[in-house]
Amino acid sequence: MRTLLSIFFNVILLLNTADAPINKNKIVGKIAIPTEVPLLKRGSNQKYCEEEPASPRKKQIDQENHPNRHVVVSFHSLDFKATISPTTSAIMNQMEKTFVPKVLPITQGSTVEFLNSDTEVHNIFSMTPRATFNIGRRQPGKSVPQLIEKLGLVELRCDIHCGMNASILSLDTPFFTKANASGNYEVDGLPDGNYKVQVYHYSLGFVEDNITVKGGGVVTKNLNLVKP
Amino acid sequence: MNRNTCLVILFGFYALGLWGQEKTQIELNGTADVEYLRGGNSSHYYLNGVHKDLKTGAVRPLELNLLAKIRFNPQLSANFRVQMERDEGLKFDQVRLAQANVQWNPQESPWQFTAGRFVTPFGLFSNLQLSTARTFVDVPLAYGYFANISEQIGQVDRLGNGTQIPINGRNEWGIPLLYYNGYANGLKTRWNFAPGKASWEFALTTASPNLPKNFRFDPLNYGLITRLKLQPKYFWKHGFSFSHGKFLQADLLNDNLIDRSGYKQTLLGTDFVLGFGHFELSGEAMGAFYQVPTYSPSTKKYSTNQNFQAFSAWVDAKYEFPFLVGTYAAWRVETLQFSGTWDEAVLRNSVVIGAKIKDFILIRSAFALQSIQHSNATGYHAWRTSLTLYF
Repeated sequence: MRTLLSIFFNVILLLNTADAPINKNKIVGKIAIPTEVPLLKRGSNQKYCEEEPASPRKKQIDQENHPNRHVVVSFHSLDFKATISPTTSAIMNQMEKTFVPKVLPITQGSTVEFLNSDTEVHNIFSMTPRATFNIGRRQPGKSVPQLIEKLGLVELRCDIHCGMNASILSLDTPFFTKANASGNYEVDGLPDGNYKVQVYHYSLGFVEDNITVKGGGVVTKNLNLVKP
Repeated sequence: MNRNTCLVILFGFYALGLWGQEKTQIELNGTADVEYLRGGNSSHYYLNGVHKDLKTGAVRPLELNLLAKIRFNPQLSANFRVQMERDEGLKFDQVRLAQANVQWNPQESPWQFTAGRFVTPFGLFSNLQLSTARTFVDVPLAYGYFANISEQIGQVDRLGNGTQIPINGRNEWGIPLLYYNGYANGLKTRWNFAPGKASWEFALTTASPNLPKNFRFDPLNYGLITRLKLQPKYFWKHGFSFSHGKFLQADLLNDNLIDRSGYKQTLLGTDFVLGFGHFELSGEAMGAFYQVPTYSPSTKKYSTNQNFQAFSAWVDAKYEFPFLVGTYAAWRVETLQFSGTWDEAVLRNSVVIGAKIKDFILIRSAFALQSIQHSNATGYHAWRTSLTLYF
C-alpha cells in the first residue's frame, strides 16, 4: 500500500513538473511615486529629535537614502512555490547616523550583515515579532551577521540615535527589484503564470495588484503610489 | 501656562504649516505615561518625587506629551511639545508648552540657529526629557531635589521642611540645581565644527537654567548657557557645560530688597557616556555657585550677596539583556552635597528593570533608597512602576 501511494505521488509530481512553466518573461514598468513624503511620518524613535547641522556627506546620504529611492517591487507566484536562495551581499550599513539603505529587500532566510561605518557606536535592535534581536553597540568597521527567518517587514531602530530607522523586507520570491530614481523598474526571468504584484515604500506602505505573464515576452506593468 | 493658550499656539503653528508651502511636512508623536507609586513615611514630592498623599500607594497618570515638528523646507522647521503632568506630583492638571521654537539649518553650513523655547543645552540629562529616552522613572537629584534656595526669597534655612513661607498660596520649597523639565527661552546656536567628533552650543536665555517658571520675562534676568560635546573615542562621548544667569521672580516678599538683581547662579558640569556591547555607563557631575540674598523669616530681613555652593553627581550603569530583547536592568548612584550647612546632603541608590514589550509599549519598575543627612526620618524610599505608551 505504501509503495502504491509513493508511486501515485511521484506520478502527480512528474505531471506537475511537466506542466511547470518554462517560458521566462520580463516585466517592466514605472511606479508613480509622490514627490513629497506623506503628511504623517513614522518611526522617529520618540526622543527629542533635535536636528544637527548636517555635513555635506550626511546631506548626500539623506538624498540617496530618501524613501522614494527605495521602492521595492516584487512578484509572488499564485500558481507555484518559487525556489529561493539566500540573498548574497545583504548589507545594512550605518553611516552618518543613518541606516543605508532605507529599505533592504532580501529573500527569506538570508543573513544580513550589519556594518558600522560611522565613528561611533550604534545599538541596532528589532522589536518585530518573530524577528527580535539586539546586536548591541559594535565597534566601527565591524559587521555583525543576523539571520532573518521571518517573512515580511523587519523594522530596525537604533536606541542611541533618534530618528535612525529602516526596514528589511524579507520576501518569499526571487523576483524582486528596486525602482530607480525615476520610478522605472525591470524584473526578468519570471515563468508563465499569475502573480501578485507587491510594491513597498517605507513611508507609504504596501500596494498590491495582480498580473499574468506568458509566452516569454515583455510585459509592461505600471503601478501607482500616488493617492487620487 | 493656560491650557487653551497652549492649544491655540500649537494649532496656530499647525495651520501655518499647512498654509505655508506645498512642501511642508508635519511629524506628530505622542507619549502617555501612567504609574504606580509608593513611598516611605517621609515622602514629599520635592524630596523623593512622591507626594505625601500618595505614599501609601496609588496609580496615577504621570505625563502626556504631544510633539509636533513642522518642516517648512529642508532648512526651516518649527518644533512643539505640549506637556501635561501632575501639579507637585498630585493633581493631573498642569499643561505646559514645553517646546515651541523655530529652527534654521542654513544649507551647506555647520551652523544651526534656534529661537523660542527649547531644551536647555546644559548637561546630559536635559536632552532626556521624554520618558522613552530615560532609563529610570525618576530624574536625578540635581534636577529633581528642591534645595533651600528660592527664586523669590533667596536662601532660607530648612525652607519648606520646617520654615514655611507661603508664596502664591503655597509653602515655598526652593528650586533644584537645574529645572527638571529642562526648557529655556531665548536664542540658541549650534556649531558642528568637527562632524562626528565635536560640536558646540551656545544659548542666550531669559534666565539661568534652574528657574522653573521661566516663561515670564523679567528684564533683570538673563542666562548664558554653553556646552561643548566631544567624542574622544567611538565608545566615549564627553560633554562640558557652563551657565551663568539670574533667576529672580518678583514677589511682595522681595520688594523691599534694595538690589534685586543679586539672584545669580553659575553652573559648571561635565558628563560622559561609555558604551560597548550591551553595556552602558553614563554620568554627570556639576557644581552650582549661587550669589543670592539670605532671608530671615523671624526678622523678615535680607542679607544680600551671600555665596552658596552645591555639588551633585550621578552615575548610571545599564545592561541590556541580549537574550530577552527590549529588557534591561540599571543601577544609579547619586549624591547632592552642599557647602556649609545651608542644606542637607542627600545620597540615593536606585535600581530599575525595564522592558520594551512592543515597539510602542515600555514598562519600568524602579526602587530608590534615599538618605538625607541629619534627618531622623528614614522614610524617603520610593517605588515607581510606570507604563509608557507612545506613537
